[in-house]
Amino acid sequence: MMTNTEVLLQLKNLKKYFEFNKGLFGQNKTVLKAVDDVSLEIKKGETLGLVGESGCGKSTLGRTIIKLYDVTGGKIIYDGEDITGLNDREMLPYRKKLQMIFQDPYASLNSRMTVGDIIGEPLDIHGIASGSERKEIIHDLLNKVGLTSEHANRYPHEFSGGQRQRIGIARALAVKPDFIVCDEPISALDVSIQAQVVNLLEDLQEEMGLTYLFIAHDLSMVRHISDRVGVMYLGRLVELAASDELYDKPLHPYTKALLSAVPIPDPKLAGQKKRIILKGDVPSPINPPSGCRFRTRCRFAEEICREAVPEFKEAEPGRFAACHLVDKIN
Amino acid sequence: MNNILEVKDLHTSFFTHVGEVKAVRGVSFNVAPGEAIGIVGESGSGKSVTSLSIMNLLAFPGKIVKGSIIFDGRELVNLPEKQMQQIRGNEISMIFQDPMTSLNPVYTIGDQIMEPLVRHKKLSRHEAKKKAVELLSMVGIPSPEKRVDQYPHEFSGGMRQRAMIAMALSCRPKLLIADEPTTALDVTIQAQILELMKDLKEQFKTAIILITHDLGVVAEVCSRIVVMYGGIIVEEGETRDIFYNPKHPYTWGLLKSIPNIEPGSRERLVPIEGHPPDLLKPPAGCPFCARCDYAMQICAEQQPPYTGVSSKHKAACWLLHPNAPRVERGI
Amino acid sequence: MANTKIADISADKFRPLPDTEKKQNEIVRPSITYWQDVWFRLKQNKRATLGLYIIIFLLLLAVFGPLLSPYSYSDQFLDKQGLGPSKEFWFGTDTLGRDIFVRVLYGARISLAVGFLASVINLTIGVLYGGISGYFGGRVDNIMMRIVDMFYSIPLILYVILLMVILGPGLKSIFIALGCIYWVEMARIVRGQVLSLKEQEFVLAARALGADTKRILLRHLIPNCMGPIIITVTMNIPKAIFTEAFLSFIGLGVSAPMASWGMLASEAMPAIRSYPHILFFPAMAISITMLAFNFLGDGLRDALDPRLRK
Repeated sequence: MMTNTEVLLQLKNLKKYFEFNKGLFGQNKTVLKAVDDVSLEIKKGETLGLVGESGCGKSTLGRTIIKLYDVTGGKIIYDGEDITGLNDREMLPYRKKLQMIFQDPYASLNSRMTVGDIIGEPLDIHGIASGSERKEIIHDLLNKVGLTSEHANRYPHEFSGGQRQRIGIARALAVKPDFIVCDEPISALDVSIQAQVVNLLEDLQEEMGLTYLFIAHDLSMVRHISDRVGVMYLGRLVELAASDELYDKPLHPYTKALLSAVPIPDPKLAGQKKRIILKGDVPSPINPPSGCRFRTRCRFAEEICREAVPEFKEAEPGRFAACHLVDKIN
Repeated sequence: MNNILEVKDLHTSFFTHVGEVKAVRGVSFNVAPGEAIGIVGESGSGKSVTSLSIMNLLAFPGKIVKGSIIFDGRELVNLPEKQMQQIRGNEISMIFQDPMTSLNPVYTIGDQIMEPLVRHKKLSRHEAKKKAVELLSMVGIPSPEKRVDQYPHEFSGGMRQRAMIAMALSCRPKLLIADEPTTALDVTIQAQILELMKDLKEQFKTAIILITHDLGVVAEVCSRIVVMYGGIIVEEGETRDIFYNPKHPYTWGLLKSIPNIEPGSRERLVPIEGHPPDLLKPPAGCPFCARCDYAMQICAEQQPPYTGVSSKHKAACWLLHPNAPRVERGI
Repeated sequence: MANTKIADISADKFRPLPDTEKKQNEIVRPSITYWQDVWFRLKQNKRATLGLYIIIFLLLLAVFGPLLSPYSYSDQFLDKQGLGPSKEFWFGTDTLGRDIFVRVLYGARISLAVGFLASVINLTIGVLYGGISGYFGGRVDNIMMRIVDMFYSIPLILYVILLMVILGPGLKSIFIALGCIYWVEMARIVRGQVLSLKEQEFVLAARALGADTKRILLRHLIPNCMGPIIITVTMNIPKAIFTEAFLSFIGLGVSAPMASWGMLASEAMPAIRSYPHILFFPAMAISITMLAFNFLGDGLRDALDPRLRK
């Protein structure tokens, strides 16, 4: 992988809270802290994987980064520029640089538009091309993602899930972005198709020098595609490390449990493996546990975990974890 | 004949206005009592339609065209709805993929678990409720006495799936069909549910048909695997046969396309190119022909017959024909 | 079945199949657009098709029908008052000696024009109002929807009557009055649709690409609400026609000698005992139109129901 040290995107204490008004006049405000105090850096040309269970805020983080949601607090710095406070018009040039690929290949394409128009829309919005030039770009993009130019006049419902995901990728590529948030792009696809899409993403990265934030809950696929991996739990980043290190020797107890829960497609190993089965469910993000948010399900939890929020600090060189007991349990 | 379920040459089609979609095209398999088998395949392979056919729950415009389904000595195809209702939820039960939509939001969890008990086992409401609490605690739901009176929206996804399993097991069915029971759940919750299913299999000796696209899940739970593709069974065998000695190129592809979680493996993934056939116009030959690296002339023309590899392992592939070139599995 | 022949398959059949013959990316399903699919469903519904044919027939009659008859809607034959249906006057004549057939056809022009024009106004205002309210949400939505609620709290017909009193009777007033009031229902329906659609990923994708509000509303949200919009329009047309008939009947509609169905019915009332046929024909025209539109509307509801599509 061509990873250099130049930072492309930096998040500083990023927060995204959702407020719900209950009661007739909104007197009872509930706050859902979907993303709470997340700081990380993504380097140019790398793939940063982001894993966690549903409701951990990983998708919200991805959407907040490309400013689909208003930021509650903290900063998003893209290529040295603070884009946190930009309004829609000021954001427009950045829309060409930051793009997104969505999870649901059925809901992410407008079913009333032809494939050509879906891919052509970014060209229209940014005034990149029109007429025959537009057509040519669309055909090029279709070929690039493994479809043919005849597909341009068809409607999304005529395609299979994997083909639709390719159309979504072509749409994101139309503006020639530098950075793409891949929000669970393969979760809804069949196993044999997932590998196709992952290979396509890897080829495109190599060819166009793209930087990815790859959000997923499939841990084995994240390991395969990512240079570094971040693990989220209830809105917080709990561990961040180079992917091999993280998978070989997870530091945070949550990461340990998460990795051990992955079913192994090998009957011999499946029988031998010792599972860490977590008790209970993920607590509600509206009323998260005090101190360390994982403490209610953590088998190592001590008094300190209830009292203080663990700092997200460098536990080993290049490895970050948010756990009070990180030295003790490893 | 001691099989609990025998499916023979099952054909199920959906009669849509663009034409007949042949979702299942001649599927035969058996399930022995207390055995857990896995049906593996991707969307559109016919695995879910097979299970709905067994339950006789096909929605319009789906219809069983041909074939027989013998459960515990009784023919289920064309069985009157009245008698089918006596079997459903009592002798065969089913768990669905989405625990959010498969529970009725206006009844308490307890009411829903009690229903089959009152209906099939003729328990009084009081007895049924006691039993419901027992079942909830068996599937690992904390403080079941309190939980039994709660509504589905007060349960989390994992707990709902547990409640679904409690409901499915309430009448001690002889066969449990689980259609993607963990697909909608997170890995840590999936691990809990799989552990629970393994325990229940040991404890009750219920036969299980586990339908999934996740080979990891079947490797954990099942002793035998049926691989489906394009509406037919392409390979069938014991779990070890399928994982260590697969014979069908689709099975090879399926196994190869899973990324290796072993350390230091960042090699390129090997996908199966192309996409599954549209069963509105099923291919004349092998359904996998268009995506197969080893496709031959004959594959496009004629459906391959089943060739036995061992007494319990068979595959439908022309490569197993004596005249075919020898192909080594490329792993 | 083919088992006997399997051993005899010649060796050349086992030659590799070239990639070109695999047809990997071929789409075998015929390309059917959403509207072709809807049309297909609609055609299968006999009542809806019947309704559609009746509406087309009525439209043709309204446009070209008067040309078939030698009389005009205001021609009086003072010696032929109150005649029953005959070869000369198909539907008979009224108490002033006018041909009822021609007057019913002219009435159809006015009634259908009211129905369609009022619906077009409703469509424009209602869809935009509801779309904007739903898309922006929050406080904007709150204020906009409270205004709609205000309209809704009193029967809509009352507003129309009040407006008609202010504007004075006449065709133009009817358009304005109906257009001003009846959009609230459309606004509510579109708002509901937009609220559920705007969180869909294709809308997020458009926002991520930098699409502005206008583009998202007009190209993404509203086209995806077309089903419910069309159903509402189809159901609103007979309502508008009926309202016009009602207003004309109570004397607030078009004025003589112009003819609308409501007015024809109203004129027939004084002579109902001696000449019942004068009431029968306009009443039948109103009923048939109502039925036809309702049949079509029900059919469209079934044809457009997203739950029936896979």
